[in-house]
Amino acid sequence: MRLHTATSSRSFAAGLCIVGALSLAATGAEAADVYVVHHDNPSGTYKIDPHHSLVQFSVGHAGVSEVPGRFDAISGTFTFDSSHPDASSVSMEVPVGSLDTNFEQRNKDLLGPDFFDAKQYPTMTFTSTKIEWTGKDEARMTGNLTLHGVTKPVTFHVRRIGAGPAFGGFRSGYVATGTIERSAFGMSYLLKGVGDEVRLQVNLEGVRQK
Amino acid sequence: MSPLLRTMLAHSVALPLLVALALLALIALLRRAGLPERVLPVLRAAALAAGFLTGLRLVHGPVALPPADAVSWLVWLVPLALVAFALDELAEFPGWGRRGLRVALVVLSGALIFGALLRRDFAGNAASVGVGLVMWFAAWSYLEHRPQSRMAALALALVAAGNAIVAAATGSVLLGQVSGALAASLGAWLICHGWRADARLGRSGVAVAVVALGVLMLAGRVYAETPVILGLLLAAAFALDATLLATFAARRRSGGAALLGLQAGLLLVPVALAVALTFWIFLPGGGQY
Repeated sequence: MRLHTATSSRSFAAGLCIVGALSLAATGAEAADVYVVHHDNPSGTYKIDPHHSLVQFSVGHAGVSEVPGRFDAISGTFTFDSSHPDASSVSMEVPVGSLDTNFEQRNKDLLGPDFFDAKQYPTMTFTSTKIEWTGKDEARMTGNLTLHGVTKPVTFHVRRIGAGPAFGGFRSGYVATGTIERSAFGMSYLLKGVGDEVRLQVNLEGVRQK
Repeated sequence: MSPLLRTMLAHSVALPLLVALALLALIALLRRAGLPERVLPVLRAAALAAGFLTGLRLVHGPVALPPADAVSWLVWLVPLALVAFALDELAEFPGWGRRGLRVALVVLSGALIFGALLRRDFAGNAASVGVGLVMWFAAWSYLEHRPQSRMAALALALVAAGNAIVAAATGSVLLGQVSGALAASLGAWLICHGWRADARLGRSGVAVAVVALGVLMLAGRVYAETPVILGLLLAAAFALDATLLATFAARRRSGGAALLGLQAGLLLVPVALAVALTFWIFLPGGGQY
């Protein structure tokens, strides 16, 4: 009976050790899988990674809904200097033909003379002229947007997501949101059926070059 | 009918038609008051242009300066064509001068509308633009020599109406609406004068309609990628008109409403075919935008 009790105590202790070890292993594995936002110093010049960047827009449709769309191809650069943050800059170019609204016929219509007139104006560009940092990771960016052959100043609210080493390079990413009136860019057709106000969201991820 | 569709039809059909009709009625009153006969075709061409430009303004929005697209150039090209051929109509330019004017307007229109595109991608667009300009000039030359102008006006109105449907359904609702405004304005001319055997659309009227239609059809092909076959079918109406004219030339002297009706019916064939193909083959399911 004593022997049996001693054996049981050893088994219980061994069991506790195994459970403890498994728990620790599980906790360690869980910590490794947690998504972490990097906040390293983002200073540098970045080349925009087109596979992790896009321009999204949404516009009122027939007075009943908002239809989204996106431009999938972006190229360009952006720079940030932590010692002179207001000297940051962004320059990007978007081929209008990369439009996708999830409906082939609508893509064709939007790229035609009614709206983007893509054969006449195949690219849109944005070049920042002033970036004011309003917080550690928040900024107000003004720049010139050229769309449909017309250049106008546009202001975006910018939020820095993170910066750090990832996938073979040092990367940083931003989300910029803003609003334009398409009629200001000479796209005035069918304002009664397709809204004038267009909401933009630009998701940028860049790979540091230097 | 939805308010949006009602507005679109008002802008591209009803209001251009009403403006042209009102001006043609005013010209008729002035004629009774003793206006010289020789200025009448010029004034009617101006009424046609006014109806069309009203529709263009309502559909396209404010005039862009400098013009930003093919349709914007029409605001300048149509009045230019009107003035140039009004001078020709009043001063009777020699044949070579008239041909020169046609060439100059076709080349100028082509350069203004497609110049930037050709500079950027000459190889990809030169053939379609070049063939289009030649067809444009040929149709214009033929229509100007059409002795019975009411048939020229009917052919132009039918092709403009066909192009309105084809363009709107396959590439650009904007080009379709503006083409509708041209068809409506020509319709106003036909309502007022189509029933008279001696009615003349005149060189200035033909110039207004051909410049507008040429820009709309070519811009549709090049910028909105309307199918080639549909454009060719619409253009075939002019060729068919020429063939019918030759075939019935002798009989037409004795004339008759039945013969004119037959010609009009036959003219409608390629246009109706283009419209039918648009809906059966080229228009996919679902709405625009």
